[in-house]
Amino acid sequence: MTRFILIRLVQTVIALIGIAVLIFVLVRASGNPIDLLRSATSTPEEIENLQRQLGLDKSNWEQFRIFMFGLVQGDFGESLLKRRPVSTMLGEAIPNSLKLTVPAFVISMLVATALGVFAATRRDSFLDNGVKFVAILGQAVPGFWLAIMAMMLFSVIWGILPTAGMGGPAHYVLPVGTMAFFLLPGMMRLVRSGMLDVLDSEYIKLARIKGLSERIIVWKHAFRNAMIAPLTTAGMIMAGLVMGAVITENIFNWPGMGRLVLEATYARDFPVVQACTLMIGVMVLGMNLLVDIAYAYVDPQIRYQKS
Amino acid sequence: MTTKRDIVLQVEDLQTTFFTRAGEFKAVGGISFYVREGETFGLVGESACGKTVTGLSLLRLLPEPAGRIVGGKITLDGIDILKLSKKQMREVRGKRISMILQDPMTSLNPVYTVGDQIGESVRLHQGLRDDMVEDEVISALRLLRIPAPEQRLRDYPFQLSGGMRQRVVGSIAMSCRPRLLIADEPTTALDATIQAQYIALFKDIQKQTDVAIIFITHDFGVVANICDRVAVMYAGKIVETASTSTIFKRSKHPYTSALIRSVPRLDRKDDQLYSIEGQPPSLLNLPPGCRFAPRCPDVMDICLKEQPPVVEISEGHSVSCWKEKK
Amino acid sequence: MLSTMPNIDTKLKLKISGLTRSARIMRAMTFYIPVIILVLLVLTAIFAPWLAPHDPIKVSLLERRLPPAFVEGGSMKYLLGTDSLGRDILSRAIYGARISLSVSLLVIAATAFVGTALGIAAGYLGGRTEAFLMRFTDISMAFPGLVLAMLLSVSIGPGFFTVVLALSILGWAPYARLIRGETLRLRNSDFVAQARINGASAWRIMLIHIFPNVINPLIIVMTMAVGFMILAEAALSYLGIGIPPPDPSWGSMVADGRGDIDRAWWISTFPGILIALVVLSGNFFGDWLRDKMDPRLRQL
Repeated sequence: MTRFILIRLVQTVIALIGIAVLIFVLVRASGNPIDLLRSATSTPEEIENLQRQLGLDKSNWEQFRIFMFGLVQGDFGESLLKRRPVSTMLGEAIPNSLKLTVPAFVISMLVATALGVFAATRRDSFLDNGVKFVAILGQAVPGFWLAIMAMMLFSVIWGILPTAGMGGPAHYVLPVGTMAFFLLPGMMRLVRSGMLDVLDSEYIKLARIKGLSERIIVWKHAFRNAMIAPLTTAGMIMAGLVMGAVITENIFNWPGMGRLVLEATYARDFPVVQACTLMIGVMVLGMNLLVDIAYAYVDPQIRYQKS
Repeated sequence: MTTKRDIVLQVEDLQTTFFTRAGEFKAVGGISFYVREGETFGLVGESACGKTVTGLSLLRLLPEPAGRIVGGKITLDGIDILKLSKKQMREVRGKRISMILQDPMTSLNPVYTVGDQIGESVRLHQGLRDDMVEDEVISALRLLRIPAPEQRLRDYPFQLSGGMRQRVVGSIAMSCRPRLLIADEPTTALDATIQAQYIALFKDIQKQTDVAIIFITHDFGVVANICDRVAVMYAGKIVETASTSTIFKRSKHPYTSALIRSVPRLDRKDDQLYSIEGQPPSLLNLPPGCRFAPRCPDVMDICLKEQPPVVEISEGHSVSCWKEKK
Repeated sequence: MLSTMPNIDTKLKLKISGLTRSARIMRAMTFYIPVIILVLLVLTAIFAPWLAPHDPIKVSLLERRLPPAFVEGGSMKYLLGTDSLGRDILSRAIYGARISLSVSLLVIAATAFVGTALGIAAGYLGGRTEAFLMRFTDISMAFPGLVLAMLLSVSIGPGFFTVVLALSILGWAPYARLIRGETLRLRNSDFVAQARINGASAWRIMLIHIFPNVINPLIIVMTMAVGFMILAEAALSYLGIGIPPPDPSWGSMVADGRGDIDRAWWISTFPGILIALVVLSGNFFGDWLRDKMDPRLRQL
């Protein structure tokens, strides 16, 4: 078990370094980043200043060393647009993003589990058909469009919820709902199909033969096995979470990381983009590490494997 | 058997039907049999003849909502189990009637230890305190002669071989010392040598516990090894019931004879294995007469028109065939 | 033994037989309607210049935010109304089909090629190659594609090629994973063993013996990816890091109407419905194809 976690940890660190290198290379791939940064009216002197300020006058290797060294110390440089340290901006944006993503994640997880399990245990019932319908539709309807439609209905036409921005509890309803929608259909489908596979298995038949109650059969014997398959696709759920955060924060003007990174992308504020993408990478890989550990906890075969 | 033992299970005219959109699928069409204490009763037939459905009917574990018992009576130690409530029925399962499934590789839950899975039954049906559960689990493992039970109970199913897993499944089934054990082809998925061991083990367990066993199989070779009495099933009906020795020496039904002749034997040199022409009838629309008639070598006019009655030829030997009525 | 007996699986039999008339009609509908929509999509994309009533990028400031024809104040000139720059929404939607289709088809071709090559190599060669490739695949699957798209948008600037690249860089991973699984199954088969005995090289076995046998699952996954890629392109364009204006992408058309939801609901609404319809059709068709060709792949 410790060995398994250790291996995963090392792999995560390697992946992280890989991402850092990728970001470094990509940002410089198009030639001199200075071409992206300077305005049309910059004088050669200004350009030179900027170059020195960004350390672009040094060799590539030296630049990379400074870049990586800065990362380790949590120094991401300064925003070209706002002239503020990127780390401060991240410090403000990350908690705001968490206020949105954590409730959305928890809500969609609970709802997906409950509905997925109930749908699977009552196959072809009204509830099951409803779950299937939502799952199919949810995979096709673009989340950004649905968010705009929701805003139109609740804020513009009915005027019962605030349009955008951060504030009281009412401000959370639409953004959290939108974000949850990005995750819910996929999760629900995974839980349902996982449960259906497991409920069909011989060991569930054996559990019934033992005389166990349906509640124990479903939640103790079936659910834990049914969670193994969805856990392997947790990476996709994380990607959905990032996508959802960026889209939701921008639609509802929520001052989180998703809005920060997209605005920086538009402005080609590359220190911010660099830092944000790296932070997102860290968070996604960190979550995947947690998922791997959860996976090992659920599946003894992983826990006991030698290599 | 010299002295007549108590009857544990009595089944009278059991009928089980699957209600599908395509029609009624009469999987079990009115069968009767009984099993005595300490006796092994074989239920033999080809796949889809209704023997597994019979087993599941006894536990009232048919796939819902399609499968339903539509007629008959099942009496376990004098109690009509078709009249029990769902909760009462759960107390019967695992405690008084148990079942072993065919495939040992898939019938254990992969995420719980062997000890957990046996202990669960013990705790549920015997209401023991946690510290006493382990002793019971170990004794259940010992009963199935699993070596080093103290260590094995901490193992997960994937750490055990197929034969060992099937013994664990046996331990779960026997953990509460049931009155009746239904074994649904428990040896089919095992290697031949392990198969023989497993059967010997069960004979021994039966001696110790007096459990009544219903042994479901398609293999007359296995029947000869373990069963005291046998019922042969064809298309949802029992066509012949007799003691094992009678079945092999004096079977009366053409289907039984064909089945026995199709078992390869070492003591006789046949040029060709016997096989029966044709296929069993669809359980969706059964012929009016004898269900075996279309494939029967001795078919008569009446066989195609009316169902044959059950004829008792000698004590404990009954046949459902027009040939014997004449 | 009883050689004449077909092994009838009761459970299977119940599943096949249990279809009513209405269920059969439903099943047919979930095939024909999606196929019709997809055929229409392809035809629209090909014949866009002949079908579109107006120039999709022509700005007409005097005709801004005109409602659709069936709404009060709308005219037959602009069936689905105009956007905030007075461009015809119908014409933009028609040209948008070109973008959606060309991006998704290009990405699918590229990712399927790379994924299949890596998958066969990993599955057949095994050992360290496999371990490395599969870990690489895992990381690629876990990496949020949006982040990469943003990075690319910053470094090489937004554009058609950037979108295709952004979606392709990570998109090969699911193919690699599936094809590796299939290859593992095939590697131990008799015909591969026979080829090895006959002295075929690893290259030859992978190309001549394994590849033709993974084409079926490959086609299924490629089909199922159509909807996903259309959705992904729309999302990137919506966020402004996809197809740059003024070219019409359905995603950016939804974004165009975002600021106008209080006065011109149609600008965002129609392209969104279009995306949902096309993606739904792609998914249904993919499911149908999978059930027909290889029901084993249910999990996908």
